[in-house]
Amino acid sequence: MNVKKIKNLLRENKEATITVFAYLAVLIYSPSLFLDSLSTTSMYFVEMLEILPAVFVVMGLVEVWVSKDTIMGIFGKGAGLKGRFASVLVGSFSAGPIYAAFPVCYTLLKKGSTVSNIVIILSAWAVVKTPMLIVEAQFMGLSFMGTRYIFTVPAIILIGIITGKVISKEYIVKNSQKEGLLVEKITQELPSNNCGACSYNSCRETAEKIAEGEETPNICAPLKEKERNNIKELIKDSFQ
Amino acid sequence: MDPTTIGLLVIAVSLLIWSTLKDKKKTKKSLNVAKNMFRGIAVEIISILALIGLFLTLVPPETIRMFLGDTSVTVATLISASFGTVTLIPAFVAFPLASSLVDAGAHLVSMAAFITTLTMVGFITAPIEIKYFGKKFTLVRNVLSFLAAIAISLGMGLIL
Repeated sequence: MNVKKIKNLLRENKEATITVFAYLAVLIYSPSLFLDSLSTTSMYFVEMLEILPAVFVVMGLVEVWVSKDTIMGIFGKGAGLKGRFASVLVGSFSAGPIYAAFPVCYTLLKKGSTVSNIVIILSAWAVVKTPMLIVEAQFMGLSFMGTRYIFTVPAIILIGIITGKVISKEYIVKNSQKEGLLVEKITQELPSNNCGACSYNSCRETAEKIAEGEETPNICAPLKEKERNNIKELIKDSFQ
Repeated sequence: MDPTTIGLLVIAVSLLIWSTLKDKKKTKKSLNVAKNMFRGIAVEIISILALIGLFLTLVPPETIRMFLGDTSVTVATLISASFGTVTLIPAFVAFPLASSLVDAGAHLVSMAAFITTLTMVGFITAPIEIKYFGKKFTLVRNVLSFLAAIAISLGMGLIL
């Protein structure tokens, strides 16, 4: 294996690399802390395994069965106040931690939901989901739970509206690294001789800049017309 | 397993059965979509969960108790909110903890900030959020959520 490949692998799995090194450091420092960390982690794993497969299966079915028009009607631009409440409702009847909400919201966004409504779903999912409210009432009392709910719902709607004003859907299109990894696909279209004519060190780096929308495919001088169009298509396709 | 998780599983399985009865091809396609979704994010989620486990072992949530002693409500609220920001704890751990902190003398306002930032603001889950929605989105949403958490807890302070 050459050094470059390893470097790329580490970069693509940045979080995994950091985690492995952190665990190694703790293992050297104190094996008992290492074991404690593993047992705490296993609790989170169990939670993830209970929730994520089911969430992904439901979202896969939504992706295939539910039409764009339906989602647009519920969470799209025209849905207005009804869309806001539908978003709070979907978040409220969810299960699992916030990271389970990211793929759900991503699918809904692709299907025509507005940015503001997915932020409302994300936030409601995080702070006012029903199982959480029940535990909250048990431990903190009904009045604590109720007051927090009354303050939180308008707050998350506001957060959604503001985020929707600041962030455009196009921004998310360009920056999302999901959808079959746009950067990967663009890299394949580039000449991959790392000629440096574009002022970046490697074609991969250039692909990242193009995927982020900071550069256009025109920056690559040796790029042929066919590949240039392919990249433009990729960017367009990465979001309908 | 809590009732919603069971509910979710029941819904997933029944939808899957319904889909299979209606159209096998479409069902296969949707399972493929699900598989790709999982593959696309599994490594990151597992790494980050392991990182959370490590962090919470090194800095157990109980450590905020140390800060809640003789500080003012404002400072305690900011500390609780910051602690909630860095980490991610399931509700069934967070609420018993918050309740024990209140018994130990913590103010309700700071606990509201703790719980809201704990679940809504995710410093540690930001890498996953960035992968889906980009850096700017993640930054804007988290900053707004942090501010909202403070506002919500202050508002609750006025009433409770």
